[in-house]
Amino acid sequence: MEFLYYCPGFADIPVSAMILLAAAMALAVVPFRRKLMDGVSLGLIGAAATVSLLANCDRLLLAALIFTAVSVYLAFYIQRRKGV
Amino acid sequence: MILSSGTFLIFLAVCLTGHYLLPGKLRNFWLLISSVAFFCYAMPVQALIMMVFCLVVWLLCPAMAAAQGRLRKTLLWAGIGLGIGFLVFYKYLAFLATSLGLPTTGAVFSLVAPMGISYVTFQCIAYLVEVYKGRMEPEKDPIDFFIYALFFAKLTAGPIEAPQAFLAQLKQPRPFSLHRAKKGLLRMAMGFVKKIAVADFLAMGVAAVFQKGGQAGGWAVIMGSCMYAVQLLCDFSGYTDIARGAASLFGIALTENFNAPYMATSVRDFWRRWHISLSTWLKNYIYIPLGGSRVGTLRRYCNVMATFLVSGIWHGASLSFVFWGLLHGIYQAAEMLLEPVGKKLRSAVGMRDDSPVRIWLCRGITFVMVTVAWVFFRADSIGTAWDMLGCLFAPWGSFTKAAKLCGMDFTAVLLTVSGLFCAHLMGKLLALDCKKQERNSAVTHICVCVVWSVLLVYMVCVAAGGGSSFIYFDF
Repeated sequence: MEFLYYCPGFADIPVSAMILLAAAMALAVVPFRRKLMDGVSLGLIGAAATVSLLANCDRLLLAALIFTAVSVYLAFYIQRRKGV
Repeated sequence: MILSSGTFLIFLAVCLTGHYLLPGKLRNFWLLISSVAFFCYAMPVQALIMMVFCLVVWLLCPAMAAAQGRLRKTLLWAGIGLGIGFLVFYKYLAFLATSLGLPTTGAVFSLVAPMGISYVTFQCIAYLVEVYKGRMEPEKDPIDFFIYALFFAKLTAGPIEAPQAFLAQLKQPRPFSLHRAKKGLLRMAMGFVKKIAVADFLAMGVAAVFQKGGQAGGWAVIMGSCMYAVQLLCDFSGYTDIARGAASLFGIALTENFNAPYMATSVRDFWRRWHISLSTWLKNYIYIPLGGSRVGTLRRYCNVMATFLVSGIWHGASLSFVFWGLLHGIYQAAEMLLEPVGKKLRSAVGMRDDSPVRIWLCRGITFVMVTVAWVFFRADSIGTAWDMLGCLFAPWGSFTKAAKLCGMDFTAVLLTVSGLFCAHLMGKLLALDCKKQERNSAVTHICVCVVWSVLLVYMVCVAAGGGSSFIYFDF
Protein backbone atom coordinates (compact mmCIF):
# COMPACT_ATOMS: atom_id res chain seq x y z
CA MET A 1 0.00 0.00 0.00
CA GLU A 2 2.73 2.42 -0.98
CA PHE A 3 0.28 5.09 -2.04
CA LEU A 4 -0.37 5.71 1.61
CA TYR A 5 3.15 7.06 2.15
CA TYR A 6 2.99 10.80 2.06
CA CYS A 7 5.39 13.24 0.49
CA PRO A 8 7.42 15.14 3.11
CA GLY A 9 7.38 18.41 1.12
CA PHE A 10 3.70 18.35 0.26
CA ALA A 11 1.79 17.42 3.39
CA ASP A 12 -1.18 15.09 2.75
CA ILE A 13 -0.13 14.16 -0.79
CA PRO A 14 0.72 10.49 -1.49
CA VAL A 15 4.23 9.97 -2.90
CA SER A 16 2.90 7.55 -5.51
CA ALA A 17 0.56 10.20 -6.95
CA MET A 18 3.41 12.69 -7.18
CA ILE A 19 5.58 10.14 -9.01
CA LEU A 20 2.76 9.22 -11.40
CA LEU A 21 2.11 12.85 -12.25
CA ALA A 22 5.80 13.66 -12.69
CA ALA A 23 6.15 10.66 -15.03
CA ALA A 24 3.05 11.71 -16.98
CA MET A 25 4.46 15.21 -17.47
CA ALA A 26 7.84 13.82 -18.50
CA LEU A 27 6.22 11.50 -21.07
CA ALA A 28 4.20 14.39 -22.53
CA VAL A 29 7.42 15.81 -24.02
CA VAL A 30 8.98 12.59 -25.37
CA PRO A 31 9.35 13.09 -29.15
CA PHE A 32 8.86 9.48 -30.39
CA ARG A 33 6.08 6.79 -30.40
CA ARG A 34 3.58 9.55 -29.72
CA LYS A 35 0.35 7.52 -29.69
CA LEU A 36 1.84 5.10 -27.16
CA MET A 37 3.27 7.96 -25.09
CA ASP A 38 -0.08 9.80 -25.15
CA GLY A 39 -1.86 6.68 -23.90
CA VAL A 40 0.70 6.03 -21.14
CA SER A 41 0.76 9.69 -20.10
CA LEU A 42 -3.02 9.91 -19.80
CA GLY A 43 -3.10 6.51 -18.09
CA LEU A 44 -0.65 7.74 -15.46
CA ILE A 45 -2.76 10.86 -14.84
CA GLY A 46 -5.81 8.58 -14.52
CA ALA A 47 -3.91 6.40 -12.04
CA ALA A 48 -2.97 9.47 -10.00
CA ALA A 49 -6.64 10.52 -10.00
CA THR A 50 -7.62 7.05 -8.75
CA VAL A 51 -5.02 7.30 -5.97
CA SER A 52 -6.38 10.71 -4.99
CA LEU A 53 -9.87 9.22 -4.64
CA LEU A 54 -8.70 6.11 -2.74
CA ALA A 55 -6.16 7.64 -0.38
CA ASN A 56 -7.06 9.79 2.59
CA CYS A 57 -5.35 12.90 1.27
CA ASP A 58 -5.84 16.57 0.48
CA ARG A 59 -8.04 16.06 -2.58
CA LEU A 60 -8.09 19.69 -3.62
CA LEU A 61 -4.30 20.04 -3.65
CA LEU A 62 -3.99 16.79 -5.56
CA ALA A 63 -6.72 17.93 -7.97
CA ALA A 64 -4.67 21.09 -8.56
CA LEU A 65 -1.60 18.96 -9.33
CA ILE A 66 -3.67 16.75 -11.66
CA PHE A 67 -4.91 19.84 -13.54
CA THR A 68 -1.31 21.01 -13.81
CA ALA A 69 -0.31 17.66 -15.32
CA VAL A 70 -3.29 17.72 -17.73
CA SER A 71 -2.36 21.29 -18.69
CA VAL A 72 1.26 20.34 -19.40
CA TYR A 73 0.09 17.37 -21.48
CA LEU A 74 -2.45 19.50 -23.40
CA ALA A 75 0.06 22.31 -24.00
CA PHE A 76 2.52 19.91 -25.68
CA TYR A 77 -0.25 18.04 -27.49
CA ILE A 78 -1.66 21.26 -28.96
CA GLN A 79 1.84 22.37 -29.93
CA ARG A 80 2.35 19.09 -31.83
CA ARG A 81 -1.08 19.28 -33.49
CA LYS A 82 -0.37 22.82 -34.66
CA GLY A 83 2.82 21.58 -36.25
CA VAL A 84 1.05 18.85 -38.25
CA MET B 1 -30.79 18.50 -11.11
CA ILE B 2 -27.55 20.49 -11.29
CA LEU B 3 -25.75 20.08 -14.60
CA SER B 4 -22.39 19.56 -12.87
CA SER B 5 -23.67 16.64 -10.75
CA GLY B 6 -23.33 12.89 -11.05
CA THR B 7 -27.14 12.60 -11.28
CA PHE B 8 -27.10 14.67 -14.45
CA LEU B 9 -24.35 12.50 -15.97
CA ILE B 10 -26.44 9.37 -15.31
CA PHE B 11 -29.56 11.08 -16.70
CA LEU B 12 -27.61 12.16 -19.78
CA ALA B 13 -26.28 8.63 -20.34
CA VAL B 14 -29.82 7.19 -20.17
CA CYS B 15 -31.21 9.86 -22.55
CA LEU B 16 -28.36 9.34 -25.03
CA THR B 17 -28.79 5.56 -25.03
CA GLY B 18 -32.51 5.87 -25.70
CA HIS B 19 -31.96 8.56 -28.32
CA TYR B 20 -29.57 6.52 -30.45
CA LEU B 21 -31.35 3.18 -29.94
CA LEU B 22 -34.62 4.56 -31.29
CA PRO B 23 -35.28 5.04 -35.02
CA GLY B 24 -34.78 8.56 -36.40
CA LYS B 25 -38.49 9.45 -36.46
CA LEU B 26 -38.92 8.84 -32.73
CA ARG B 27 -35.80 10.68 -31.59
CA ASN B 28 -37.44 14.10 -31.22
CA PHE B 29 -40.26 12.53 -29.23
CA TRP B 30 -37.69 10.90 -26.94
CA LEU B 31 -35.91 14.23 -26.56
CA LEU B 32 -39.20 15.82 -25.49
CA ILE B 33 -39.90 13.00 -22.99
CA SER B 34 -36.38 13.46 -21.58
CA SER B 35 -36.85 17.23 -21.28
CA VAL B 36 -40.20 16.86 -19.52
CA ALA B 37 -38.71 14.24 -17.18
CA PHE B 38 -35.82 16.62 -16.40
CA PHE B 39 -38.28 19.41 -15.58
CA CYS B 40 -40.66 17.17 -13.59
CA TYR B 41 -37.76 15.73 -11.55
CA ALA B 42 -37.16 19.21 -10.13
CA MET B 43 -40.67 20.73 -10.01
CA PRO B 44 -43.59 18.72 -11.46
CA VAL B 45 -46.37 21.28 -10.89
CA GLN B 46 -44.39 24.15 -12.36
CA ALA B 47 -43.44 21.95 -15.32
CA LEU B 48 -47.12 21.46 -16.07
CA ILE B 49 -47.81 25.21 -15.81
CA MET B 50 -44.91 25.96 -18.14
CA MET B 51 -46.12 23.40 -20.66
CA VAL B 52 -49.59 24.99 -20.66
CA PHE B 53 -47.96 28.37 -21.33
CA CYS B 54 -45.95 26.90 -24.22
CA LEU B 55 -49.08 25.23 -25.59
CA VAL B 56 -50.94 28.57 -25.59
CA VAL B 57 -48.06 30.23 -27.47
CA TRP B 58 -47.93 27.37 -29.98
CA LEU B 59 -51.71 27.58 -30.60
CA LEU B 60 -51.62 31.36 -30.84
CA CYS B 61 -49.01 31.54 -33.60
CA PRO B 62 -50.95 29.91 -36.50
CA ALA B 63 -53.95 32.11 -35.66
CA MET B 64 -51.70 35.18 -35.63
CA ALA B 65 -50.02 34.19 -38.91
CA ALA B 66 -53.44 33.76 -40.58
CA ALA B 67 -54.83 37.04 -39.23
CA GLN B 68 -54.35 40.43 -40.86
CA GLY B 69 -54.07 44.03 -39.68
CA ARG B 70 -55.24 44.92 -36.21
CA LEU B 71 -56.18 41.39 -35.16
CA ARG B 72 -52.68 40.18 -36.00
CA LYS B 73 -51.14 42.88 -33.82
CA THR B 74 -53.64 42.19 -31.02
CA LEU B 75 -52.75 38.50 -31.03
CA LEU B 76 -49.03 39.34 -30.92
CA TRP B 77 -49.50 41.62 -27.95
CA ALA B 78 -51.75 39.05 -26.27
CA GLY B 79 -48.93 36.51 -26.54
CA ILE B 80 -46.24 38.93 -25.37
CA GLY B 81 -48.52 40.17 -22.58
CA LEU B 82 -49.14 36.62 -21.45
CA GLY B 83 -45.40 35.92 -21.34
CA ILE B 84 -44.56 39.11 -19.47
CA GLY B 85 -47.53 38.64 -17.14
CA PHE B 86 -46.36 35.11 -16.40
CA LEU B 87 -42.86 36.41 -15.63
CA VAL B 88 -44.11 39.29 -13.48
CA PHE B 89 -46.46 37.02 -11.53
CA TYR B 90 -43.73 34.55 -10.58
CA LYS B 91 -40.65 36.75 -10.33
CA TYR B 92 -41.63 40.34 -9.60
CA LEU B 93 -44.87 40.30 -7.63
CA ALA B 94 -43.22 40.52 -4.20
CA PHE B 95 -40.79 43.18 -5.46
CA LEU B 96 -43.63 45.29 -6.90
CA ALA B 97 -45.70 44.91 -3.73
CA THR B 98 -42.76 45.94 -1.53
CA SER B 99 -41.98 48.90 -3.80
CA LEU B 100 -45.61 50.06 -3.55
CA GLY B 101 -45.63 49.57 0.22
CA LEU B 102 -48.18 46.74 0.08
CA PRO B 103 -48.06 43.70 2.42
CA THR B 104 -46.29 40.64 1.01
CA THR B 105 -47.96 38.01 3.17
CA GLY B 106 -50.05 35.30 1.55
CA ALA B 107 -49.59 32.15 -0.48
CA VAL B 108 -49.26 34.02 -3.77
CA PHE B 109 -45.95 35.56 -2.65
CA SER B 110 -44.42 32.25 -1.66
CA LEU B 111 -44.95 30.53 -5.03
CA VAL B 112 -41.84 28.96 -6.51
CA ALA B 113 -41.09 30.17 -10.04
CA PRO B 114 -40.76 27.44 -12.69
CA MET B 115 -37.20 26.54 -13.57
CA GLY B 116 -35.76 28.66 -16.39
CA ILE B 117 -38.91 30.82 -16.60
CA SER B 118 -37.00 33.89 -17.89
CA TYR B 119 -35.27 31.90 -20.63
CA VAL B 120 -38.41 30.05 -21.77
CA THR B 121 -40.47 33.25 -21.80
CA PHE B 122 -37.86 35.17 -23.83
CA GLN B 123 -37.64 32.32 -26.34
CA CYS B 124 -41.43 32.23 -26.71
CA ILE B 125 -41.52 36.02 -27.22
CA ALA B 126 -38.79 35.67 -29.88
CA TYR B 127 -40.86 32.99 -31.63
CA LEU B 128 -44.03 35.13 -31.54
CA VAL B 129 -42.23 38.18 -32.96
CA GLU B 130 -40.48 36.20 -35.71
CA VAL B 131 -43.81 34.69 -36.84
CA TYR B 132 -45.52 38.09 -36.63
CA LYS B 133 -42.80 39.71 -38.76
CA GLY B 134 -43.17 36.91 -41.31
CA ARG B 135 -39.54 35.86 -40.93
CA MET B 136 -40.63 32.28 -40.23
CA GLU B 137 -43.67 30.05 -40.60
CA PRO B 138 -45.48 28.91 -37.44
CA GLU B 139 -44.10 25.56 -36.29
CA LYS B 140 -46.58 22.83 -37.23
CA ASP B 141 -45.08 20.07 -35.10
CA PRO B 142 -45.87 20.59 -31.38
CA ILE B 143 -43.08 18.19 -30.40
CA ASP B 144 -40.45 20.33 -32.13
CA PHE B 145 -41.86 23.52 -30.62
CA PHE B 146 -41.87 22.05 -27.11
CA ILE B 147 -38.27 20.90 -27.55
CA TYR B 148 -37.37 24.43 -28.68
CA ALA B 149 -38.91 25.86 -25.52
CA LEU B 150 -38.03 23.17 -22.98
CA PHE B 151 -34.94 21.26 -24.22
CA PHE B 152 -33.33 20.11 -20.96
CA ALA B 153 -29.75 21.11 -21.82
CA LYS B 154 -30.70 24.78 -22.14
CA LEU B 155 -33.78 24.88 -19.91
CA THR B 156 -32.20 26.12 -16.70
CA ALA B 157 -30.00 28.98 -17.91
CA GLY B 158 -30.09 29.24 -21.69
CA PRO B 159 -28.58 30.04 -24.15
CA ILE B 160 -31.65 31.90 -25.46
CA GLU B 161 -31.95 30.34 -28.90
CA ALA B 162 -33.24 31.95 -32.08
CA PRO B 163 -36.26 29.87 -33.19
CA GLN B 164 -35.33 29.50 -36.89
CA ALA B 165 -31.87 28.08 -36.31
CA PHE B 166 -32.91 25.75 -33.50
CA LEU B 167 -36.07 24.37 -35.14
CA ALA B 168 -34.22 23.78 -38.43
CA GLN B 169 -31.80 21.46 -36.58
CA LEU B 170 -34.69 19.37 -35.27
CA LYS B 171 -35.86 18.69 -38.86
CA GLN B 172 -32.48 17.25 -39.85
CA PRO B 173 -31.45 13.62 -39.27
CA ARG B 174 -28.95 13.43 -36.42
CA PRO B 175 -26.95 10.20 -36.73
CA PHE B 176 -24.38 9.32 -34.07
CA SER B 177 -20.92 10.70 -34.74
CA LEU B 178 -17.85 9.72 -32.73
CA HIS B 179 -16.07 12.94 -33.66
CA ARG B 180 -19.03 15.01 -32.41
CA ALA B 181 -19.28 12.90 -29.24
CA LYS B 182 -15.58 13.49 -28.57
CA LYS B 183 -15.97 17.25 -28.98
CA GLY B 184 -19.14 17.28 -26.86
CA LEU B 185 -17.46 15.40 -24.01
CA LEU B 186 -14.41 17.67 -24.20
CA ARG B 187 -16.66 20.74 -24.01
CA MET B 188 -18.50 19.25 -21.04
CA ALA B 189 -15.20 18.43 -19.30
CA MET B 190 -14.10 22.03 -19.86
CA GLY B 191 -17.35 23.25 -18.27
CA PHE B 192 -16.89 20.92 -15.29
CA VAL B 193 -13.32 22.19 -14.72
CA LYS B 194 -14.47 25.83 -14.87
CA LYS B 195 -17.37 25.21 -12.52
CA ILE B 196 -15.91 22.79 -9.98
CA ALA B 197 -12.23 23.73 -9.89
CA VAL B 198 -12.58 27.49 -10.28
CA ALA B 199 -16.08 28.92 -9.70
CA ASP B 200 -17.11 26.79 -6.72
CA PHE B 201 -13.76 27.31 -5.07
CA LEU B 202 -13.75 31.08 -5.51
CA ALA B 203 -17.36 31.26 -4.30
CA MET B 204 -16.38 30.71 -0.65
CA GLY B 205 -13.87 33.59 -0.58
CA VAL B 206 -16.27 35.88 -2.46
CA ALA B 207 -19.08 35.09 0.00
CA ALA B 208 -16.79 35.89 2.96
CA VAL B 209 -15.85 39.30 1.52
CA PHE B 210 -19.38 40.32 0.51
CA GLN B 211 -20.73 39.19 3.90
CA LYS B 212 -18.36 41.63 5.59
CA GLY B 213 -19.52 44.41 3.27
CA GLY B 214 -18.16 47.80 4.27
CA GLN B 215 -16.01 46.24 7.04
CA ALA B 216 -13.94 44.17 4.59
CA GLY B 217 -11.17 46.71 3.88
CA GLY B 218 -9.76 47.96 0.56
CA TRP B 219 -7.55 44.99 -0.30
CA ALA B 220 -10.33 42.51 0.47
CA VAL B 221 -12.81 44.48 -1.68
CA ILE B 222 -10.37 44.52 -4.61
CA MET B 223 -9.60 40.81 -4.24
CA GLY B 224 -13.24 39.85 -3.61
CA SER B 225 -14.61 41.79 -6.58
CA CYS B 226 -11.91 40.50 -8.96
CA MET B 227 -12.54 36.96 -7.69
CA TYR B 228 -16.26 37.47 -8.25
CA ALA B 229 -15.63 38.61 -11.82
CA VAL B 230 -13.73 35.37 -12.47
CA GLN B 231 -16.22 33.25 -10.51
CA LEU B 232 -19.20 34.59 -12.44
CA LEU B 233 -17.50 34.04 -15.79
CA CYS B 234 -16.40 30.50 -14.92
CA ASP B 235 -19.75 29.64 -13.37
CA PHE B 236 -21.87 30.84 -16.29
CA SER B 237 -19.52 29.94 -19.13
CA GLY B 238 -18.91 26.60 -17.39
CA TYR B 239 -22.66 25.97 -17.37
CA THR B 240 -22.90 27.02 -21.04
CA ASP B 241 -20.09 24.64 -21.97
CA ILE B 242 -21.83 21.76 -20.19
CA ALA B 243 -25.14 22.64 -21.88
CA ARG B 244 -23.55 23.01 -25.33
CA GLY B 245 -21.52 19.83 -24.89
CA ALA B 246 -24.57 17.84 -23.77
CA ALA B 247 -26.67 19.21 -26.66
CA SER B 248 -23.99 18.38 -29.21
CA LEU B 249 -24.08 14.75 -28.06
CA PHE B 250 -27.66 14.76 -29.43
CA GLY B 251 -26.50 16.45 -32.62
CA ILE B 252 -27.86 19.87 -31.64
CA ALA B 253 -25.62 22.94 -31.80
CA LEU B 254 -26.45 25.62 -29.23
CA THR B 255 -25.39 29.26 -29.60
CA GLU B 256 -22.04 30.36 -28.19
CA ASN B 257 -22.67 32.60 -25.18
CA PHE B 258 -19.16 33.89 -24.39
CA ASN B 259 -16.17 35.12 -26.32
CA ALA B 260 -13.40 36.11 -23.88
CA PRO B 261 -15.48 38.94 -22.34
CA TYR B 262 -12.72 40.31 -20.13
CA MET B 263 -10.62 40.95 -23.23
CA ALA B 264 -13.20 43.53 -24.36
CA THR B 265 -11.80 46.97 -25.17
CA SER B 266 -15.02 48.84 -24.32
CA VAL B 267 -18.25 48.18 -22.43
CA ARG B 268 -20.05 47.98 -25.79
CA ASP B 269 -17.52 45.34 -26.85
CA PHE B 270 -18.03 43.57 -23.51
CA TRP B 271 -21.72 43.13 -24.29
CA ARG B 272 -20.85 41.60 -27.66
CA ARG B 273 -18.84 38.98 -25.77
CA TRP B 274 -20.80 38.38 -22.52
CA HIS B 275 -24.08 36.42 -22.46
CA ILE B 276 -24.25 36.86 -26.25
CA SER B 277 -27.66 35.20 -26.59
CA LEU B 278 -29.27 37.63 -24.12
CA SER B 279 -27.51 40.65 -25.69
CA THR B 280 -28.73 39.55 -29.13
CA TRP B 281 -32.28 39.10 -27.82
CA LEU B 282 -32.26 42.54 -26.19
CA LYS B 283 -30.85 44.12 -29.36
CA ASN B 284 -33.40 42.42 -31.65
CA TYR B 285 -36.52 42.75 -29.53
CA ILE B 286 -35.94 45.87 -27.40
CA TYR B 287 -33.23 48.15 -28.82
CA ILE B 288 -34.05 47.93 -32.56
CA PRO B 289 -37.88 48.19 -32.13
CA LEU B 290 -37.26 51.33 -30.02
CA GLY B 291 -35.44 52.86 -32.99
CA GLY B 292 -31.92 51.60 -32.30
CA SER B 293 -29.20 53.97 -33.43
CA ARG B 294 -31.16 55.36 -36.41
CA VAL B 295 -32.70 58.11 -34.30
CA GLY B 296 -31.48 61.36 -32.76
CA THR B 297 -28.63 61.38 -30.23
CA LEU B 298 -30.79 61.94 -27.16
CA ARG B 299 -33.30 59.27 -28.22
CA ARG B 300 -30.43 56.87 -28.87
CA TYR B 301 -29.14 57.34 -25.33
CA CYS B 302 -32.67 56.76 -24.02
CA ASN B 303 -32.88 53.53 -26.08
CA VAL B 304 -29.59 52.29 -24.63
CA MET B 305 -30.72 53.10 -21.09
CA ALA B 306 -34.10 51.39 -21.64
CA THR B 307 -32.41 48.26 -23.03
CA PHE B 308 -30.06 47.99 -20.07
CA LEU B 309 -32.88 48.70 -17.65
CA VAL B 310 -34.71 45.67 -19.07
CA SER B 311 -31.48 43.66 -18.81
CA GLY B 312 -31.12 44.65 -15.14
CA ILE B 313 -34.75 43.83 -14.30
CA TRP B 314 -34.50 40.52 -16.18
CA HIS B 315 -31.63 39.46 -13.91
CA GLY B 316 -33.71 39.74 -10.77
CA ALA B 317 -36.34 41.52 -8.75
CA SER B 318 -34.16 43.87 -6.74
CA LEU B 319 -32.97 47.46 -6.94
CA SER B 320 -29.35 46.25 -7.09
CA PHE B 321 -29.98 44.62 -10.47
CA VAL B 322 -31.86 47.67 -11.72
CA PHE B 323 -28.94 49.87 -10.67
CA TRP B 324 -26.44 47.44 -12.26
CA GLY B 325 -28.36 47.61 -15.56
CA LEU B 326 -28.56 51.40 -15.44
CA LEU B 327 -24.85 51.62 -14.64
CA HIS B 328 -24.05 49.66 -17.81
CA GLY B 329 -26.41 51.97 -19.72
CA ILE B 330 -24.56 55.00 -18.33
CA TYR B 331 -21.19 53.41 -19.26
CA GLN B 332 -22.33 52.94 -22.87
CA ALA B 333 -23.83 56.40 -23.14
CA ALA B 334 -20.59 57.87 -21.77
CA GLU B 335 -18.57 55.84 -24.28
CA MET B 336 -20.68 57.13 -27.18
CA LEU B 337 -20.36 60.67 -25.86
CA LEU B 338 -16.59 60.48 -25.39
CA GLU B 339 -15.79 58.62 -28.63
CA PRO B 340 -15.02 61.73 -30.72
CA VAL B 341 -12.91 63.18 -27.88
CA GLY B 342 -10.92 59.94 -27.71
CA LYS B 343 -10.30 59.97 -31.47
CA LYS B 344 -9.04 63.56 -31.33
CA LEU B 345 -6.81 62.74 -28.38
CA ARG B 346 -5.32 59.71 -30.16
CA SER B 347 -4.57 61.66 -33.32
CA ALA B 348 -3.01 64.46 -31.23
CA VAL B 349 -0.71 61.99 -29.46
CA GLY B 350 -0.11 60.02 -32.68
CA MET B 351 -1.42 56.73 -31.28
CA ARG B 352 -2.81 54.21 -33.77
CA ASP B 353 -6.17 52.49 -33.16
CA ASP B 354 -4.49 49.06 -33.18
CA SER B 355 -1.64 50.08 -30.88
CA PRO B 356 -1.09 47.35 -28.23
CA VAL B 357 -0.66 50.02 -25.53
CA ARG B 358 -4.08 51.48 -26.39
CA ILE B 359 -5.72 48.03 -26.59
CA TRP B 360 -4.40 46.86 -23.23
CA LEU B 361 -5.20 50.20 -21.59
CA CYS B 362 -8.78 49.94 -22.89
CA ARG B 363 -9.02 46.33 -21.69
CA GLY B 364 -7.83 47.36 -18.22
CA ILE B 365 -10.27 50.26 -17.98
CA THR B 366 -13.17 48.10 -19.23
CA PHE B 367 -12.37 45.36 -16.72
CA VAL B 368 -12.33 47.88 -13.86
CA MET B 369 -15.67 49.39 -14.97
CA VAL B 370 -17.33 46.00 -15.37
CA THR B 371 -15.95 44.76 -12.03
CA VAL B 372 -17.24 47.85 -10.22
CA ALA B 373 -20.67 47.09 -11.70
CA TRP B 374 -20.36 43.45 -10.54
CA VAL B 375 -20.10 44.72 -6.93
CA PHE B 376 -23.68 46.06 -7.24
CA PHE B 377 -24.71 42.81 -8.94
CA ARG B 378 -23.40 40.65 -6.08
CA ALA B 379 -23.99 42.81 -2.98
CA ASP B 380 -27.12 42.34 -0.86
CA SER B 381 -28.17 45.94 -1.41
CA ILE B 382 -27.04 49.10 -3.17
CA GLY B 383 -26.03 50.52 0.23
CA THR B 384 -23.71 47.58 0.94
CA ALA B 385 -22.14 47.97 -2.51
CA TRP B 386 -21.48 51.68 -1.91
CA ASP B 387 -20.01 50.86 1.53
CA MET B 388 -17.69 48.30 -0.08
CA LEU B 389 -16.56 50.72 -2.78
CA GLY B 390 -16.12 53.34 -0.05
CA CYS B 391 -13.43 51.08 1.48
CA LEU B 392 -11.22 51.96 -1.49
CA PHE B 393 -11.07 55.58 -0.32
CA ALA B 394 -9.94 54.65 3.21
CA PRO B 395 -6.74 52.87 4.37
CA TRP B 396 -6.71 49.48 2.59
CA GLY B 397 -5.62 47.41 5.61
CA SER B 398 -3.39 44.36 5.57
CA PHE B 399 -2.92 42.45 2.30
CA THR B 400 -2.22 39.19 4.17
CA LYS B 401 -5.41 39.47 6.21
CA ALA B 402 -7.39 40.19 3.04
CA ALA B 403 -5.90 37.13 1.31
CA LYS B 404 -6.81 35.03 4.36
CA LEU B 405 -10.37 36.36 4.32
CA CYS B 406 -10.65 35.46 0.63
CA GLY B 407 -9.36 31.95 1.42
CA MET B 408 -6.41 32.47 -0.94
CA ASP B 409 -3.89 30.00 0.47
CA PHE B 410 -1.40 27.93 -1.57
CA THR B 411 -3.95 25.21 -2.48
CA ALA B 412 -6.58 27.74 -3.56
CA VAL B 413 -4.19 29.72 -5.76
CA LEU B 414 -2.75 26.54 -7.34
CA LEU B 415 -6.21 25.04 -7.94
CA THR B 416 -7.63 28.24 -9.44
CA VAL B 417 -4.63 28.92 -11.68
CA SER B 418 -4.25 25.31 -12.84
CA GLY B 419 -8.03 25.02 -13.39
CA LEU B 420 -8.12 28.21 -15.47
CA PHE B 421 -5.06 27.17 -17.47
CA CYS B 422 -6.48 23.68 -18.04
CA ALA B 423 -9.85 25.08 -19.19
CA HIS B 424 -8.08 27.55 -21.49
CA LEU B 425 -6.06 24.76 -23.14
CA MET B 426 -9.19 22.61 -23.49
CA GLY B 427 -10.81 25.53 -25.31
CA LYS B 428 -7.79 25.79 -27.60
CA LEU B 429 -7.95 22.06 -28.32
CA LEU B 430 -11.64 22.37 -29.12
CA ALA B 431 -10.96 25.24 -31.54
CA LEU B 432 -8.18 23.19 -33.16
CA ASP B 433 -10.54 20.22 -33.55
CA CYS B 434 -13.11 22.45 -35.23
CA LYS B 435 -10.59 23.83 -37.72
CA LYS B 436 -8.90 20.60 -38.77
CA GLN B 437 -10.49 17.67 -40.54
CA GLU B 438 -10.58 14.69 -38.22
CA ARG B 439 -8.73 11.73 -39.73
CA ASN B 440 -8.25 9.60 -36.62
CA SER B 441 -9.47 6.02 -36.45
CA ALA B 442 -12.61 5.01 -34.53
CA VAL B 443 -10.45 3.39 -31.81
CA THR B 444 -8.61 6.68 -31.21
CA HIS B 445 -11.93 8.55 -31.04
CA ILE B 446 -13.28 6.03 -28.52
CA CYS B 447 -10.10 6.29 -26.41
CA VAL B 448 -10.37 10.09 -26.34
CA CYS B 449 -14.08 9.84 -25.42
CA VAL B 450 -13.12 7.54 -22.54
CA VAL B 451 -10.45 10.01 -21.35
CA TRP B 452 -12.90 12.93 -21.22
CA SER B 453 -15.59 10.76 -19.61
CA VAL B 454 -13.12 9.71 -16.88
CA LEU B 455 -12.25 13.37 -16.30
CA LEU B 456 -15.99 14.17 -15.95
CA VAL B 457 -16.47 11.40 -13.39
CA TYR B 458 -13.31 12.49 -11.54
CA MET B 459 -14.60 16.08 -11.34
CA VAL B 460 -17.89 14.84 -9.91
CA CYS B 461 -15.96 12.80 -7.30
CA VAL B 462 -13.77 15.79 -6.38
CA ALA B 463 -16.86 17.95 -5.91
CA ALA B 464 -18.71 15.24 -3.94
CA GLY B 465 -20.83 17.01 -1.37
CA GLY B 466 -19.36 20.38 -2.28
CA GLY B 467 -21.02 21.09 -5.62
CA SER B 468 -23.27 24.12 -5.75
CA SER B 469 -25.96 25.46 -8.05
CA PHE B 470 -25.16 27.77 -10.95
CA ILE B 471 -25.56 31.51 -10.32
CA TYR B 472 -27.58 32.10 -13.49
CA PHE B 473 -30.17 29.46 -12.49
CA ASP B 474 -31.69 32.15 -10.25
CA PHE B 475 -32.31 34.50 -13.17
